[in-house]
Amino acid sequence: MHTLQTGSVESNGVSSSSSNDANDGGKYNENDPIKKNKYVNWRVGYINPEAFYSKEDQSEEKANKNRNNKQYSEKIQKAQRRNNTRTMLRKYITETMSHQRKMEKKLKTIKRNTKKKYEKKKMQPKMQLELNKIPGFNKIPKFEDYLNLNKMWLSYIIELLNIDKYLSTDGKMAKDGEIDFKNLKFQNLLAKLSSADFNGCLLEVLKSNNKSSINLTGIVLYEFKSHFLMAVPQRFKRFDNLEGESGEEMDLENDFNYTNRELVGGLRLVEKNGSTFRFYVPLNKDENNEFSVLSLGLDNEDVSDREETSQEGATEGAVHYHQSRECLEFVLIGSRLNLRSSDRTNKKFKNHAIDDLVV
Amino acid sequence: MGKATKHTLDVQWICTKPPGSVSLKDHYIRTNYLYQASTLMALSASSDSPDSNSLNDLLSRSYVHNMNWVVKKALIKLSPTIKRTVCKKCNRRLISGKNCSVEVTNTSNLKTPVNDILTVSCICQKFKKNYPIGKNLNYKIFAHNDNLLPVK
Ligand SMILES: [Zn+2]
Repeated sequence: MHTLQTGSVESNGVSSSSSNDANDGGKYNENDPIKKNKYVNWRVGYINPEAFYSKEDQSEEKANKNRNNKQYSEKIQKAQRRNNTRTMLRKYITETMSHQRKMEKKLKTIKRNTKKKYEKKKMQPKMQLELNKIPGFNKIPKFEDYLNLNKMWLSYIIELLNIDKYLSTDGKMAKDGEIDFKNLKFQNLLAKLSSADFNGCLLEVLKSNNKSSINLTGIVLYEFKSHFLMAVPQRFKRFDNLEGESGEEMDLENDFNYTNRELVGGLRLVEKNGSTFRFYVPLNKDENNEFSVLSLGLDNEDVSDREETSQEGATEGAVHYHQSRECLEFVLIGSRLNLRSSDRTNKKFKNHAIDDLVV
Repeated sequence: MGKATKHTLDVQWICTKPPGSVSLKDHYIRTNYLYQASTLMALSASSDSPDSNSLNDLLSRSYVHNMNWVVKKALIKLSPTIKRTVCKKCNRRLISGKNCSVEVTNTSNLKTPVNDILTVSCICQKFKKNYPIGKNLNYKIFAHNDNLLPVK
């Protein structure tokens, strides 16, 4: 009996204090059903769920209430059930792709207007836009927001490939003396990549059937069955030759040297089938103890620089070690990855029925 | 003598060696990465203008969706501490103050603290879970029990 009484006294005291706190905050409605019927000790991060639904959804619900037609309500229920994460992502991608095309048209008109002004003065057109101040550009996802994801992915892939021993800090190798990279079994590394996750990887497209996606670099945001969804930086020139038509070096601060698509950046879909990819894993760390891959991936690489250590894994891909840059280069064949990322857990790269090889 | 026996028992727990190599290590690393990536995306989703369709939110959900499939295919198991931070209906990574609301309620007439119930509810309004925390405050999950380690 004693225990029961003490319990009731304590609970009452707590409840009164909590209600005072809620009134001071003034956040919550008085008609809140939870507060009326039950006593609430404390709340952490209470969120009004109605704020998370857009106006269209609310209007749909009202229409559903007005019509007591059974078939209509069943239809809406089925549609809501179909709102998976996957279908929502697809919807989002199609919307942003069309939005990007609109932005490209906007840039086209801006360029045309400025060109007319320069033609009157008889000068070569020059312009540097502040893209983020143009209305509508904030909707487009940016490459820079996903750099943290890429850093996280690098620590993941180093743990997966088990190359912690070869990591260097402050320009010195972790082990004393030179490391024999030829002892590293490259075949094993490639076999591990077959069950790796590529969300967050900074990929470069080397070959592709689609010409507009050759030499694209971007961070992979999601891996579909036959496509990579990538976030591509704004103002990124795809091709190596930075020479204009007259043979002079291209001025990269002039926006007229970019196409409209390169200026906008944003999301891209790259097909896996018939394309080869490349990515770098650094064995080097910054002053802040973080990996510096951005410079590696975006620079144009000299082919003569690399040491060709392995030719064995040519059917699956290729691994190279760059001694001057202290990084590993991986080349993957897209058609080997032509599966859903969750289905690749227990499978290995196929070695039969090969259409394309890495040379 | 009673003290001595206790002491020897403690020594036995310490002496057990952790396993040298973990089987299916690759899949464990992958699930760990996907979980971390989903938290990063959920935290960086915009809280000021909460669109249900913002890209970061969708990405975090799809990473969790992938994680669940990897676990199913590789025949490994997640610990319940991770399972409880994920919505089972919409695959959202639950973070209090951002995605979900955490409350302690008591429906009993006498308001005894034994009947305290912790409810975690997601914003998708389809998922709600009750934990009767008042019954045993010192409750431990089965996997967190120290006596589970094998002797020697
Ligand atoms: Zn949910």
